[in-house]
Amino acid sequence: MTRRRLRKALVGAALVVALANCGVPTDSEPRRIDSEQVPFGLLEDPNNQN
Amino acid sequence: MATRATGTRRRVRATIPHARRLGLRARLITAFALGGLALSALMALISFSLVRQNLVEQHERTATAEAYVNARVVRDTLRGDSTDVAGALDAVQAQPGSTPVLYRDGEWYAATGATIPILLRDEVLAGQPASLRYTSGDDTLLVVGLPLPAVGAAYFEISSFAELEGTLRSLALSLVVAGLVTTVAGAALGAYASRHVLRPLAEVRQAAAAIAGGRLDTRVARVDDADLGALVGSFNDMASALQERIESDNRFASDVSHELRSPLTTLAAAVEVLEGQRDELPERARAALDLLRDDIGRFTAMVDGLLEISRFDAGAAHLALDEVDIAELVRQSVTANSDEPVPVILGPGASGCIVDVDKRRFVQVMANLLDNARKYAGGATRVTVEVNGVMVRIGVEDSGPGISPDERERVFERFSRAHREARSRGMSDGVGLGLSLVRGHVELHGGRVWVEDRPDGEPGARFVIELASVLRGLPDEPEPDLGPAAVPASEVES
Repeated sequence: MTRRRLRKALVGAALVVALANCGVPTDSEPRRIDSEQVPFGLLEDPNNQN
Repeated sequence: MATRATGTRRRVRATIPHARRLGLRARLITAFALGGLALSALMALISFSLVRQNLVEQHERTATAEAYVNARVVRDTLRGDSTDVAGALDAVQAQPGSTPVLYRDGEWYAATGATIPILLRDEVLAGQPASLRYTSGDDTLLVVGLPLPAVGAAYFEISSFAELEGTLRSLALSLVVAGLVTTVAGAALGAYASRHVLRPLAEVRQAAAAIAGGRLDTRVARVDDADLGALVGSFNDMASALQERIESDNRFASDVSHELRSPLTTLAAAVEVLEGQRDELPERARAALDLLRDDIGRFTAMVDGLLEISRFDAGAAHLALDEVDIAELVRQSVTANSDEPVPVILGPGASGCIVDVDKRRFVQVMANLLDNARKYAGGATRVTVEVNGVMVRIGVEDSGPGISPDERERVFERFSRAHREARSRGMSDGVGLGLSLVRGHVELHGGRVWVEDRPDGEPGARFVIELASVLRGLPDEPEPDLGPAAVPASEVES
């Protein structure tokens, strides 16, 4: 591949990457929510209070 | 031959990149445009990233807060009636685009079809609240999962980013348009700046062209810019040095010609004395006297020519203009300078056409052209006078070998190569200044002179003088009687 073609390919790849990243990014794995941030006592279990 | 061919190939390779290289102005415009593009692209990237991050976080906070509220509703409903799962989901007031999903006792409950990613499901069912952004089809979704240990269930709420993605697409499009506008604006700025920056260079180019055209006193106006000022200063210094050198050379030629004139006059007078006693001289002395007389005549003509050219170069030649009937003057010049009759052909409107000329110089021009035709082409075959708009063209044609296109400009140079070669072959006894003087005289009149092929396609050359006519002399006036050598073109058989 000549230097000119390589340069064109790199510019094209950069454009594709830029366009692909225009949307909302996704997660590769779940993000844990800090239990202390959860309101209304949703995580409380009355059977395990003791 | 092989070596020469290789050299040619090398030259071609070396010149192609030069031909493709952009000019300075184009490079400046391109640099400004690319600079604008790069800057706008960087700004767009940063702006887009910040805005997207902000909007996504805001969307997630809202969706998570809504999931907390809805999970509480589900928990409270199931606490009251632990079997009515459908009723619990119905109690949830999800936002448009949101889907509540409930898992209890190994069963999944949802108002519409929904898929929970396995990784998130396992995390939440293990008792860890979590969220996940993922792609489903063309849509990007956010699912928030909350374990509800109080009722032995897990609540999930799926919300879509479709609206936000539409907003981001609009934003990206706006930034791309802004980038293009910035690029065009950069190019326009580059064009404006380069025009101003390169103006002194354009003036230098014009001045160089003027100097090459003979106006040696041309200079470039000073500029305040430090870099360009040095260039302009150097150019003006170079022009001054060049002018001084050329004027010095001209003075030298003029001085030498002047110095030679006196002894030549003495020699010519001595030859005249000897001519008077020619009959008393022996045969060999008479032959030597003939050679001496011819060479002195040629030498005198050359010195006179050099003096005239020196006056051209020094700008000391002045015109004594008269309004003359150009056809009549041509006819008189031809008659006076031709050994044999040469037809003078007048085109439409040529009779009575008035031109401002210096008669002495014009007659000298015609004499030199006719002399040139006699020496190199066996004499002129015809002389034409044509009117073309406000211009008058006088053509002197011959039937000699013609002049190749490569030589047509050189024949007007002083001591041109064509003249030297003809002289070496014994084809000419001229001094090589005749056509140079013709050009000098004609250009002094503001006219042009050139040589071309004969218009009838026959072998030979045609020297053309072009001068501006005086408008009031144009065709309305009655045509005067034609002299014996002047014939209208319409009356000449082709």
